[in-house]
Amino acid sequence: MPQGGLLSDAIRRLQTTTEADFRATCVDILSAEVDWASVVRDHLASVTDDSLVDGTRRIFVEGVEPKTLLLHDEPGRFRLVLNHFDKASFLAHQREGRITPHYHHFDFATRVIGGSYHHLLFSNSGDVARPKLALRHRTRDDAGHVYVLPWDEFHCVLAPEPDTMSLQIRSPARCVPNRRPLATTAKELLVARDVALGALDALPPAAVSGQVPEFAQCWL
Amino acid sequence: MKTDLDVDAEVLLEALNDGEKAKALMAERGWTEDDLVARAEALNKSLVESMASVNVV
Repeated sequence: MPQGGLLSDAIRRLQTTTEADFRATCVDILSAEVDWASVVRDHLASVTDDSLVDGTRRIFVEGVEPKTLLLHDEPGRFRLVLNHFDKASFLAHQREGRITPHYHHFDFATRVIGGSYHHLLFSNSGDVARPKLALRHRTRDDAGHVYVLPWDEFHCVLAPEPDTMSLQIRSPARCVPNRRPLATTAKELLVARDVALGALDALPPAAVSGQVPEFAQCWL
Repeated sequence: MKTDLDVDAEVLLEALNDGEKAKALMAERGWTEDDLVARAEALNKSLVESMASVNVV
């Protein structure tokens, strides 16, 4: 199948999957023996500037890493997103104390498609508004790792390798985060896109099956 | 995350994930295994305490 067809096929499967099967479908898609970095690169390069900016403005969060680029939006159903960890930016955020345990406003499934990071997961004896966290698992996620994470699980990514990339499938929003209006300009988003394309180009070809680490088995 | 760790968090995490790197780090620093574990616990504590406000992304 042509590479563009792989992404279209994944989108069609997600369009027709049920809520009950959503996680399993995501993991099955992301675990396929596919060079996802190449697929994502070709797709990202084909998106017009206006479309990229318009879509990415809906998901871009300032002051955090990774940088997020929207690949496909199925409103109310799912989103496909490329995450790009820019090392210099990550370290700057870390120095400013912005790399901390957090949760997301969506469930997600993700596949590391290049690089690696250390991943810490926390148990929470409080709730999302008043968490009482304790480390419960620490792992290193490498290229090819596929995992899911429910929205209310607190976690933290540390020490990404330069230009670590992941392909993420997001569920619909589970809560509404409080966001300030985006100050990032269209030009800055396009620069982020171009930097990500360069990083994807630099990844060695690798069509391997994904692996679900032990910590994520409980959410399948 | 700001810590008072006397070792880079990335170096520590790599050592905690790799036995050979752990041995090398302990030898370099003159640490016992307990010293390494103490740094791991300090890193965990600093992460949890670094949450000035709840962070939802």
